[in-house]
Formats: sequence, C-alpha cells, structure tokens
Amino acid sequence: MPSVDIYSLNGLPAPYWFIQLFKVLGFILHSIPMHLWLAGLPIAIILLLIGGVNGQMFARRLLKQMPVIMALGINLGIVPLLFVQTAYYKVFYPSTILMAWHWLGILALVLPAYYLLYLTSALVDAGRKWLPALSGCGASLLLVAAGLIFASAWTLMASPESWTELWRAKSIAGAATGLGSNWADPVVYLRFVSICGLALLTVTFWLLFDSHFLFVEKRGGAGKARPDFSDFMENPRLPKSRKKELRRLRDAGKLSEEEELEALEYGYDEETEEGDAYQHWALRFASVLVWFGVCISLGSLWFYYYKVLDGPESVTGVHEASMTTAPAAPIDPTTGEPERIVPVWIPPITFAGGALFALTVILGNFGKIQGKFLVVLVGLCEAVTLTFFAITRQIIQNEQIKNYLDIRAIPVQMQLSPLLVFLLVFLFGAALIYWMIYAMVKTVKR
Amino acid sequence: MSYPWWYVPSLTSPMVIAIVAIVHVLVSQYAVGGGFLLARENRFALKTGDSEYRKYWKSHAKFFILLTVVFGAITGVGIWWTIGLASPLATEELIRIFVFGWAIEWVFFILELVAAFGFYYFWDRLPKNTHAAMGWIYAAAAWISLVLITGITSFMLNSRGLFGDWEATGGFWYAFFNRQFIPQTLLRTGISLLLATIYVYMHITWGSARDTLREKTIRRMLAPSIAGVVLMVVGVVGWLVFLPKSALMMLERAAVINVFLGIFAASSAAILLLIFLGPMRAPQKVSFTSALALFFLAIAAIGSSEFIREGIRKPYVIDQIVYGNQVMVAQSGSISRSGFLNSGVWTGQYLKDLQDKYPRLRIYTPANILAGSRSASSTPAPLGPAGGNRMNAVSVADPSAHAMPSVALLDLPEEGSQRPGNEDWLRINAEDQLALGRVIFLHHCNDCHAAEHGYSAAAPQLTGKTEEEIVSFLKHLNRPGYFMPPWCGNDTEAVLLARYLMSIRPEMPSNITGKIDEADLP
Repeated sequence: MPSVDIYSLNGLPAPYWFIQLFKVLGFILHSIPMHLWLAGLPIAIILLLIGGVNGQMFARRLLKQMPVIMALGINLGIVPLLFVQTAYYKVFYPSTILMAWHWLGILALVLPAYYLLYLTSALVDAGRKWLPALSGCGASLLLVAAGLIFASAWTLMASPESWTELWRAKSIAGAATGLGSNWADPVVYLRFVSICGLALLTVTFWLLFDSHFLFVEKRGGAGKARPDFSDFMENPRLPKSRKKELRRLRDAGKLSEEEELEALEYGYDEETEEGDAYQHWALRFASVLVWFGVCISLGSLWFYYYKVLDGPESVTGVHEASMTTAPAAPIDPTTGEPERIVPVWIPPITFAGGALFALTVILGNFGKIQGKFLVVLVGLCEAVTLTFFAITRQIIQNEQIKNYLDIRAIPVQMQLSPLLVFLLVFLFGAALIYWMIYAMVKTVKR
Repeated sequence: MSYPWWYVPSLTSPMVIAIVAIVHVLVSQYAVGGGFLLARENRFALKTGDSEYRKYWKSHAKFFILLTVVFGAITGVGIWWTIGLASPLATEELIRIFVFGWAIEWVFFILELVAAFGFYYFWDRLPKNTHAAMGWIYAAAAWISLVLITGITSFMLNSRGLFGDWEATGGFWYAFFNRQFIPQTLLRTGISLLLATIYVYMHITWGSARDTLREKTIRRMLAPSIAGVVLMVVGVVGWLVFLPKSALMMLERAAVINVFLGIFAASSAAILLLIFLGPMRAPQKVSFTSALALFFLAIAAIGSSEFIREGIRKPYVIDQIVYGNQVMVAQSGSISRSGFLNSGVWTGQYLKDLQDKYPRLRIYTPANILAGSRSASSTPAPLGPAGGNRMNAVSVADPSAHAMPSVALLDLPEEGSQRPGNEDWLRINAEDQLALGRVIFLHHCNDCHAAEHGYSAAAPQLTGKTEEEIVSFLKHLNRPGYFMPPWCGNDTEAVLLARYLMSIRPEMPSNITGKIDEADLP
C-alpha cells in the first residue's frame, strides 16, 4: 500500500496530544472491567467448583458483580474506539473491512456472553453451583474468543504492510469478502497473552479491593447480631429464589437441619473472624495470582519488545512464520544501527511497575503492609502498570504505522467550542456519577 | 476510494446496516421512552403510596435493563461498526465533523448506565427522593443521547443549517443544528414514547398481574401514547417541510419508497386504531396477543420509516458531501478524469497486480496522479461502438508518460486485430476485461445493487438493452435518475462495465412476445 499523504486528510479536530490522552485514558478505563471478565471469570468458575469457603465467597461475589462490570466495560470501550476512528481511520477501516465478518463476530460472541453472565449471576444468587459454573464457562469461552479477535484486529491495524496479501487472498474482483484473518501471525497470540497477564494483575487488585473494602462494608461491621427470627423465610438477606427452593424442600419434607440452619444464618454467619479469614485468604491467593500475572505479562511483553519488535526475530523469526513482512527498520544515523521501535526508557518502567506490584502483594502476605493501606498501594501499582502499558502500546502503535501514516504530522483543524462543551459535560457527568455512587455507597453502609 | 469495498453477496453491505439499525432502533427508542415512563410511574407510585403498582414497575425495570442495557448497547455498537465497514468514507466524515458530539453522547451513556443500575439494584434501599432522582437522571440522559444522535443522523439527510450552512462555515454547530434536526428530534421522541407504551402493554399482559393492576397500568399509558402520537405528527410534518427537494421528489418518484410509505401509513393508522379500541376504550380487554399485534405493527412502521429515511437520501449518504458509492461529491469530477480504477487505492492495487500479466501496463502512483490525470484529460478518449476504435487512457500515468508513446490499459478491438507500427499498444484479453468490469461494478454500483441476484440486482434491469445503450446510460448515470451518483469513471471504464453487465444480463424472457417492428411504426 502506498503511504497516506497526510495533507490530503481533513485534519485532526483536536491537538495530537488531546487525542492521544483520551485514547490512552479510555483504554485504561476500559481495561479494568475487560481484565475482570477475561481472567476473573475463569478464576471465579474454578473457585466456585473447587475452592474452599473463602474461594467460593470470592467466586460468588465476582460472578454477581459481573453483569455490571460487563456493562461498564462495553461503555468505557466507546471512547478509545471513537478516538481511534478520529485519528487512525486510515488504518482502522481497511484492517477491519478486510476481516469484516470476524470483526462483526465479536458482537455475535459478546451478546450471548452478556446474557449468560446475567444468568450466571441469577443462578449464583439462587445458591446454585454447577449451573452457574456451566453458564459462566460458556460466557468465558465466548469472551476469550472475542478477545482473540480484538487482538487480531489490533495486530492487523498495526501492520499495513500485510494488508495487500490478505486482500489478494480474500477478495472477489478487488472487493474484500471480509473473510480475511491474520491467525497465522504469532503476534496476535503474544498480544493476547500479554493482556491476559495484565488481566491477572487486575484480578489480584480486585480481589484485595473487594475483600478489604466492599466485603467489610457490606457486612455492616463486626459483631452485628442476627435479628431474632426462627423461620428462614423471615431472613431478609436470604435470596428470594433460595427461599422458594428451600420452602419447596421443607414442604416435601426433604429439608435437612443443616440446610435450615444455614438458611437461618445466611448473611449473618460471618462475624469479624470470618471477615478476617476472607481477607487473609484473599491476600494469600493474591500473592499466588500476582506471580502468574507478573510472569506472563512481563514475559510476553519482554519477548514482544526485545525479540519481536527490536530483535533479530523481527525479520527472521516470528514474522517469517506469519503472513506479515516486517518493514526494514530505518538506520539511526548516530549509532549506525537500526532504529528502535520501542523507546529505551519505556520497558524498564513497565517492568518496574509490575515488579513493584508483586513486591507489594508479597510484603502484604508477610504482614509487612496491612489493611486498606496495602490495597491502596496495590491500586497505585496497578494504575502505574496499566498506564505505562497503555502509553507503551500507543507509542509502539504509532511507530509501527509511521511509515504508512504519520499521525503526529497530521495538521490540526481545531473544533474549539465543541471540545470545550465536551470537557464541561465530562466534568458535569463525572460530578453526577460521583453523587450517584456516593448515594449508593452510603445506602450500603447504612 | 481509499478503503476496500466490503462485498456481501446478494444482500449488499449497506443492507447489513439496515438490518442492524432496525433491530437496534426497536430497543434504543424503548430505552428513551421507557426511561421516561419508569421515572414518571415510580414517582406516581411513591406519591400515591401504591406499593403494588411500584412493585410492578420494579419488575418492568428488570425487563427494561435486560433488554436495553444488554441488547441495546451491543446492537448500538453493531450499527457503529457496520457503518464503518459498509460506508467507511461517510463514517470518517461524520466522525470528523461530530467527534465531540459523539464524545458528549458517551458521557450521557455512562450517566444512563450508572443511573439505571442505581435505580434498579437499589430500588428499595435508596431514600425515596434519591431513588426518584436517579430515575429522572436516567430519563434525561437517555433523551439527551437521542437528541445528540439525531443531530448527527439528520445532518445526513439535510446538511443545510438552521443558522447558516456547514458547507460555508465548516462549524460543528452549523452541522448539528441542521434543518432536519428539530423535526426528527420531535419525531423520534414521539416514536420513543409510543413504542415504550407498547412494550409496557406487552409486559403487563404477559405477566400474572391482577386485573385491576393491569387495567390501571394500561390506563396510565394512554397519556404518553397520545403525547407520542402528537409529537410524531408534528415531527412528520416538519420532516416533510424541511426535506431537501431531491428527497421530496423521491417520495413521489420511487415505487419502492411509495410502497414503504404505504406500509408506514397503514401500520401507524392500525396502531392508532388498536390503541383507541384497546387501551382507550376497553383497557380491561387488552391481551398479550393484542399487545403483540401492536408490537409487530410497530416493527412494520419503524422498519419502513428507516427504509424511507435511507432511501430518500439518494444519491447521497451524507447530503451533498458523500455519494452512496463512497465518493466525495467534491472529488467525483477529478476521479472521473483520472479514471475510476486509478483513483481508488484498492482498485489501483488491482491494476498494479495486472502488471504481472501485462508487464507493459503502466499505472498511476500517488506522486504522479496529477500528471496522469492531466495526461489523460489532454488526450481525447474517443468512444466508438463496441469493438470499434481504440479506447484510451485508463493507465498512461507516470510523469515520463508525456514523452513516451501512449500505452493503453486495454485494446478494445477484438482478438487478432493487429496494429502495425504501434507495437506499444497492449491487449487485455476478454476475460480480464470482464474482470475489470466487475471490479468497477463492485466499487461503483454494489452500494445499492447486487449483480445478478439479490437486492435491487442490476443485471435484470438491463435485459433488452444493447451494449451501446448501457454505455450511454452509464455515462449519463444521474440524468435519467438523479438519485444515482454521477458516473465517476472515464469512457473506457464505461465500456468495461457495460461489457461485464452484458455478460451477466439475463436474456429476454421467452414468454415476452410482440416485438415491435420499426416498419410498423407510422
């Protein structure tokens, strides 16, 4: 493909930095819920089936939260996609058209997955175990498949040099059939694996956040006694569907004493000690998860940075196995060596963020850092890691397509007044959302 | 011309947009009207202390969330993605003009989401006033998102502004406040209210609500229904008044639009009649079956109105900015001069690939396209009858071409013709000529026409025409039918396309007799 003449374009409606900022910010916000359904969902299913009391507790809580997480993830994905189409349309549209049916397939996968998550949540609420595991498993498989297609689309978008071959292979009289794919390109899987690694880190953070903030708050404080009632039907915390089921069993004379006691105590059975036990378990489990997360994400990123993008494999190894042909890197006049795609300073910072993440969790496990302070620290590490990953990803994307489309050089045709209105609405919306969430949290506390 | 064309056999890719759009609109309009109903009825129940009525609306809120938050959101993304695939140039333009409109709409989406979840999941837990406020926040955010998207879609039908033209100013607000903005906002608000009441009829009659509750709910829906109808009528009148002239004429001229207008009018009238006979006169008799009938009529009305909305825009996707075949209005002339195949990145690539077979073929590159177009336009391109004179000029392109003997892309004289003394001439065999014709068809015509079979297939419409007639028709594409884009190719390409169309054109049906003999004419 001939490179795009940027002066033939209409110009960016906002400065380059503004578009990059919102694209990166949007991606970070989208990443958190996306990580939770990508890695959190399978972990929750496994814990639901083979986990102990605390593992099941986390599993049930996460599965019940999942429909809201999904809704947020989809809506937060709009912003990065909008700014991709604002500045990167010359690479976004051709790549998605070449793989149109796969691209639309994402929606066909996500829609049933979304409904399955609601079903899973309802089944968990009803106290079931195998059925929610089954429906959750279905949702997870669909979402993993959707994630792989996303990874494929983003990889194709960043490799315009591969489009022509793909188009030749999958076109009729020059028109794309939309059946193209780059599944032979190992970068797709590398990209997906790195996201999965980061997703494990996000699940680690969410586990600690849930156990230290949401869980304790929901219990309403330590030592709260169960109100005096002798019939589980009067227990306001027992889900209605469970009540119905138990009543049916009781009427049939099949209700065991254990089940009745459990139903009576439901929602009141955990005093401070059990809350503490859940937090301790969460910390222990987090220190295992974090190792997987750090090893997988940093390992795959290291391989991608140093072996695929800037290493000898960029030409002879990984890319050779794929349909792509890596473009010849321009020579740096100062060193006489090929120019690096990844700026030198980026990987160490990303790796440092991940390492710090792991260190914090491990220190927490040994009791060196405790309580909510630990969660705040882990949250900061998560933010640093995700932010630097998002920035790195953006820089690399810009570099990869630079020879085809130099985003930085596109002239700006500023749309000042709509931009200002957007920022005002954004602030107003943030304030209103804060008020609504505050009202909900206050209610939960009360 | 810089994007690949997405080929969807028989259906054509824009019809994929239509299918997704109709499905989405059925839910997204409910998301707006239903939000208003939920907020209103929740407040009413709180005010009157009717806990049973409020309980019903909680169950309706669950249904509402399951449908709108999930299905509505995914199909909304579906429309966005599909327009990017089937109409990338138009989408690029819309995003460039309205990016901050969409960004503002996103803020309201998030507001809708948080408010909807707060409203439902904290139904009996939030203080009553806070809960009611969340309902109204949802309703307002949903309606504002409707207003915002209407500003964008109405611009596609009429790009003239209320306070000045976008074309002259280039400003966002001029585009947003276009002449169709207010009528379409009223129309869509009206449809949202009416449709939402139909969903309520279906929901309440499906469940096992007591008769009194059912009757009360149905009666309460009357006022929003009537308000919806009034807004729709005002909106339709405004829509007609502010239609561009081409669209107005299209309403009268295109038979298929007339059919859909008829469906729209008949189904709307039937909806009104059913509402009058059911919810208005005998609410106790409204059954799930009658509610379902209303819903199917609503599908017919909305489906036909969406089709009309798309159909009357022709030849544009965006009024006076982008043609249906993904050509910028401002560039159609220069594309025609440079050659349609040469001007597109991907059609140009197709020509490049032909070089393997015809090494002497020369093609344009971005750097010399200007030189190429100058060269092409300065060289006369005589068009003779089929098999006649040499066709000039799709190719001759690199800067040095001015000084070189002319090398044509194709040589229309039939096989075996020799041109002594002009050995630079290149022969493209008949098969490749047809292939090139098909390339032109898919990129120039497939936006609105399938080829042999399917949606508005082109070939059956050409039965009985000669190649010369088709060539002449193509070269004056927008004269007999202004709703077609102008011909964006050169004379050679018209012949290539005509030959391809001739090759797929069905023969005159055998039962058609009574050939007119010219001798019989007076």
